[in-house]
Amino acid sequence: MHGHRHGLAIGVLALAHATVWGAAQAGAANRVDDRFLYTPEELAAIYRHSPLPAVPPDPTNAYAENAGAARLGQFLFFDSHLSANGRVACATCHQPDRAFTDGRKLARGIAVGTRNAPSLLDVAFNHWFFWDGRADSLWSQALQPFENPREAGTDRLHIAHLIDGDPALRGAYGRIFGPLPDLHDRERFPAHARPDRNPRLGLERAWVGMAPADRAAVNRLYSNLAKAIEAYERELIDPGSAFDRYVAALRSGDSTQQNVLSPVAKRGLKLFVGAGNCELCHAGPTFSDGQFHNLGLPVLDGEAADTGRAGGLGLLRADPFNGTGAFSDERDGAARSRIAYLPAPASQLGAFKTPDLRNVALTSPYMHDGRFATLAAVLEFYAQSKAASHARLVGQPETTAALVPHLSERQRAELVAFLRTLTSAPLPDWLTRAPPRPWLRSRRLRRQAMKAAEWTTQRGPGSGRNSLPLGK
Amino acid sequence: MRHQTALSVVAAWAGMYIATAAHSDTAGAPMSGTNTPGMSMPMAGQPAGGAATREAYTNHHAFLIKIQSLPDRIPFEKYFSLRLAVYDGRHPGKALADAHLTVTAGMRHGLKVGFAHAMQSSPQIVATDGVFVVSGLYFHMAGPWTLEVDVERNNQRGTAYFTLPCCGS
Repeated sequence: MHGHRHGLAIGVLALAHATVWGAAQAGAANRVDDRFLYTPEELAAIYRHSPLPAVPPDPTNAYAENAGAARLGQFLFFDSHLSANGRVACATCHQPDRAFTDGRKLARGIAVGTRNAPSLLDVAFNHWFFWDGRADSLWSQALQPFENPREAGTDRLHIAHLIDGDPALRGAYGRIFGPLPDLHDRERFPAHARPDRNPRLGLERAWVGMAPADRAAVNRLYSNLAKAIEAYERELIDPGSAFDRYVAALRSGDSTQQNVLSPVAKRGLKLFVGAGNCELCHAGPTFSDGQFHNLGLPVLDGEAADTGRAGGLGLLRADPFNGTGAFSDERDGAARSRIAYLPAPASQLGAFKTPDLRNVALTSPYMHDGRFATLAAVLEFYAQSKAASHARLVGQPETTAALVPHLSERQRAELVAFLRTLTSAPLPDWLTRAPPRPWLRSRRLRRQAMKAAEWTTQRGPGSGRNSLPLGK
Repeated sequence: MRHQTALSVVAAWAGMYIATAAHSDTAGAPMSGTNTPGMSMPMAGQPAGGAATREAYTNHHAFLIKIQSLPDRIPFEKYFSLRLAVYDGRHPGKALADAHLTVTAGMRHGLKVGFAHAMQSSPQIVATDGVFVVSGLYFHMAGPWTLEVDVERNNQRGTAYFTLPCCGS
């Protein structure tokens, strides 16, 4: 009897649900407030996704909000001189017109890397960096590609000498961070040196041959450059999407503005925040929980097994540029807790960071190794295949991915339609290209600095910049 | 025109019905009691309402664990601590200062056994005079978390489960 009543309730619920959708799709003339389309829980989840809050502070970088540092960082971001062959810049793999990705399966700098290049849009909201979380700040992340043989392939001494040898860059650096160390003695400061695992290159020998104080001076310079790059990357905040406008209309109850999403996309949204269980990982304003998950992705033929965060944890602990290191501007705060309470590596085997889904339609291919060319292929994995029993896996897949129910072809199309609504308006043009060389204190540069100040002020109270040293 | 109006009324009613039904589900979700690993949990997106469990027995009632202090509101995406005390399950007035504790946490998302995903930090425990201070707890998702406390003493073992709601959303 109870079961019958339960069945009846479900039937009525289904009918009511269908009626609501029917009404909503009957046209704008009905002006049914879309808030009735969602359960209170779904609506709460939708509201948690938008708007983006103010950019969180990074106390490990005292220059994170410095507008002069941001402009220097922007210059360095697009400067291919900071590479072994003079042709690779940060922007090589993080191209502004591709939502700061490169469209490749695996990133390619000096050589082909081992992982897919993630987007930098909204990157300041991340807690951990790289797919394996081996960096705990955006500035410590920015350092690593310079010396990665597959990426920029250069070394910190080479970069230091480049900055020192360019009066404009030296001046720009000095105005922000203070004077460079005197690097002219090549006995003390060789042309090339870095910590290096390959003894044949001689870079390690040159590095350990330096006096500890000289190594520290170079590391300080090197980390400051990355802090400038972080200051720039913190400005790469998406300006809002159709989804954000829709959520604003939901909040205000303005049903006339709620047609910014198609009925198909709305069904996809409902699925995303509800029965689809996508929220289990893709939660919050960036559609990411900022954590790491082993989805049970099988090792592909011809590819080496990737240990994911299990390997990243060791690299993070050993990194002298982590948040507790000598070059962090706040070593004892949250940064210390983050390192102290890192999870056990065994629990993170095969786990990769949950990607941000804002602008996801622009960032194909997908997953840490770019194995899925389209969003439809990603959803097919979640909806149907999961990990095949005979597949070669790394570590123990967690159950989260299995909680995504079977999704019909139509439901997958609805989800894709929704995900496409997360594509934001483009960034201001001046943020997407190299700025004028830093020493040109031109009217144009001042105008750009003013624009930067306006831009960051618009992003919320936590995003304001300090004074603009460029105008001094 | 009349048809549209009627449709709107039905839609509004239906929406209310859905809202009410879902709200009832949430309110009825078991948020307390907790020695049973197979409890049912609300799914993602549901509010983190409900009170935290403050005491629970391990299997077979060998030990009683009490949470002595807990933040009024568990912070979202921030480390927090709590204090535990262990008692003899058959003589609940008898504190056991020499017990050995390990703590894990995770979210079940409806699973009967185990976690859909675990907490991604390694909490540390410092025992002083029978008080076990657990630091390094970190909840990265709103909703009910399950704290799993393993106790070992004199070759006796047991596990107690607590429900901790995150994070007042």
